[in-house]
Amino acid sequence: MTDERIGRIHDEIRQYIESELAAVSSDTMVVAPDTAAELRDVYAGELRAGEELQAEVGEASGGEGLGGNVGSSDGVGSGSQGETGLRSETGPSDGVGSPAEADTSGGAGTPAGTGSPYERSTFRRRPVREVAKSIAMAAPVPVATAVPVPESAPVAVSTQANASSPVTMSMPVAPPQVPAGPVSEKRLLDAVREGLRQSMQHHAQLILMGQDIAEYGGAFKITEGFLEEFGKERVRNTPLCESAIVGCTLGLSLEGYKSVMEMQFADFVTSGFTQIVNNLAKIHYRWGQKADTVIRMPTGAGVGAGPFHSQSNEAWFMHTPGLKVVYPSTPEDAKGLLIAAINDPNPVLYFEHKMLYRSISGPVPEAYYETPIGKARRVRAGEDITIITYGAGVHWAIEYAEAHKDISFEILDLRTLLPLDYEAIRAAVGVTGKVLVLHEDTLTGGVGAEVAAWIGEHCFALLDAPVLRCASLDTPVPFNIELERNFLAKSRLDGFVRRLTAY
Amino acid sequence: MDGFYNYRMNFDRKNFNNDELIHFYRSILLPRMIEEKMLLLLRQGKISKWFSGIGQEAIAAGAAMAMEADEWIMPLHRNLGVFTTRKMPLARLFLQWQGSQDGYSKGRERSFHFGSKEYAICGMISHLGPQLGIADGVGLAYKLGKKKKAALVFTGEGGTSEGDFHEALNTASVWDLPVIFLVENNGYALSTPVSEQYRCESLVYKAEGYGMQGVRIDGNNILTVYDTLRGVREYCIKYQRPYLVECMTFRMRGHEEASGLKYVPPSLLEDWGRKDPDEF
Repeated sequence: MTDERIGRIHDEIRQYIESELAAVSSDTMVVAPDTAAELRDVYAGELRAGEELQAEVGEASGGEGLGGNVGSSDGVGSGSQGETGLRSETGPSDGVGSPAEADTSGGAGTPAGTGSPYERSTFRRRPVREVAKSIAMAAPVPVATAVPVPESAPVAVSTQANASSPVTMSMPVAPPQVPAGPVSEKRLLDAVREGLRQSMQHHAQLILMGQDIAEYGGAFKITEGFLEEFGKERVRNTPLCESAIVGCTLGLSLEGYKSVMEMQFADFVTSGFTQIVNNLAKIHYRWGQKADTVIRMPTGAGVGAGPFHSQSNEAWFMHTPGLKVVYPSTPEDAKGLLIAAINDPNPVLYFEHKMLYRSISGPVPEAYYETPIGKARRVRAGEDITIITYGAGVHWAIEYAEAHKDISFEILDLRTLLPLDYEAIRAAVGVTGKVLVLHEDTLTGGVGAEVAAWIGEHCFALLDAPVLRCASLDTPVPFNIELERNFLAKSRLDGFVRRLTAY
Repeated sequence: MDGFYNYRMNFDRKNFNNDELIHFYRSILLPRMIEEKMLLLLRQGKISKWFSGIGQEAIAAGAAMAMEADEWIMPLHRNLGVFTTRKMPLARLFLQWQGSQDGYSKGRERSFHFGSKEYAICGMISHLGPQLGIADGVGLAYKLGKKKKAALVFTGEGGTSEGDFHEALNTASVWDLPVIFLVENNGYALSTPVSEQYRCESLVYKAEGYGMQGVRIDGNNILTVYDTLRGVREYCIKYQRPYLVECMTFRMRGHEEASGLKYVPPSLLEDWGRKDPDEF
């Protein structure tokens, strides 16, 4: 090959580059800025793109609420994340968007046309019946038609959005709409197992990974018997490599597989943190690739297990756009939400409270059904105080309400922390005007901070008292059972209720 | 024709015919000339900054050529050669580098921090190491699907210090995954030289610690890179095992353009300049 030949190759490539550049027409090509100011225009161009995106999201979701979930919020409803490209992800989404801004003055619990805080006295003591009516009107419609059915079998949908008994006691509201068919009493642990097993039967491409989940059946025996039923290829023991295994879930997703990874304890998720918050959460926003996986998070305190086996860390993930975070408190929801999480093409953090595994039982439909992600559940209707909570807090609230029949409690189980069900929160606030947000996680920067801030910002006119937060102490979780009892929010619940009733 | 290769470099042409050799030459020249154009455009303010692969093109281009077009590659930020070898349209790549709405990431990501399912390229993550675990998942999918494919993932010598390197190689070995771990040892992680990065004599020795095989090669010879990777790929698929390849090379420009090269001894640049992979 002569120098002349080499020169020709160079010329050919140079011409190719120039012709491709010419195809980047001058109106999209940023005009030669040679100064710092002009250089900034390049980035302003990026910012404009972002602003447009926010506008699209605002339009699609009808206002505030979904902005934090740009890029990965379309799971329930479209079921096609990753295939639809970057723009469509901001389209009309999953029906969990909050009401339009105008709703602040005209939505549930507020007379239409008002909105000025000065008018609050006109509705601060609305008859409960009127409020209940508006809540009923605001109640979410069943989403059966919107649920993605990944394979072919039909998915029943539990639409018990209006109320149900998680465990026991008489409820003044209608029974849950559960899928037709037999219902049996199950512990929360068994419900998680059943949801997982039915999902494995439903999705041939679903892979389970986790430490000791195969022969041993998992630290909490959730996957006991799975190895025999589904084989070692799909039920995989892993080395102690949390980060690599979360990475594996993403790699599997690239090739069209679904996966559920079991963190042995939610505390250990820190060892896979980057993979979750930077890879899983952002990949669809960045270049339209889905991360079709569920991370199971056995969480919570109450059993004297000390700082590294007791933490509540859901708030870390609630603060991460691109993830979904669910946290069931009842066996029925545990099964339905796990199935929904697995069917959802987005990355979902699924929290399951270790203390509730064997202490909580309830009716669970035997069918394969979804509990919709992004929908809170009205646990009971009341008139005096609203408790907004999730996880173990739901049971603390019910127990407290049962022991204090002189106070009428409205209790809302959030069930999904990201995206939050703002509509249900607004309705629950409107019923009593006195709100306590209760959770097991520590106080500062917790889920309650976000919920309370949102209520203050959007439901101020509905309030008759400051929104209070009852949470655990801002310390690590202590080992000694008495110290742990003192640490947990439950030990201070009575004081917070007393403060609210005084208003 | 033969005289050219002997005259430019004492070259082992490895049984490739002239047309094939010219194809290699084009494959390595294209990313170099694109980057030279990008340097001009950067100075004119027409594109945003990126991380140069000048001097390392033989690895990205040679390795990508060794893989089948539908096998996933997990590149890093200096691997333009992967994108050009997969024949991604250059016009759209330029739009990507401008942060345009019409780029691959719609303006949401910078330079090479994006991927494309269509081209089986999984976009990089700036933390570097986490790319390696994703390759495990792809390898697992190939294995479960009994596909005759392997995954290829890039890291640098800096990335090997991360915990993710250990976890990914360990998992790939324990699970017998067909994954090629390719280390581009280019001398510096931003300003950190290898002497402050690791103490083993060669990074390929780490393979043994994970019970896998590995090889260290000249990363500035595209024929060596291609030939090695082709063989390694066949090994990974046939034996369902991972493999570590350490490619010795050098970063001839700054970490990015603005940070310069003041910390690099000039003699190193001179030595490696004589080994320029594009100088046939």
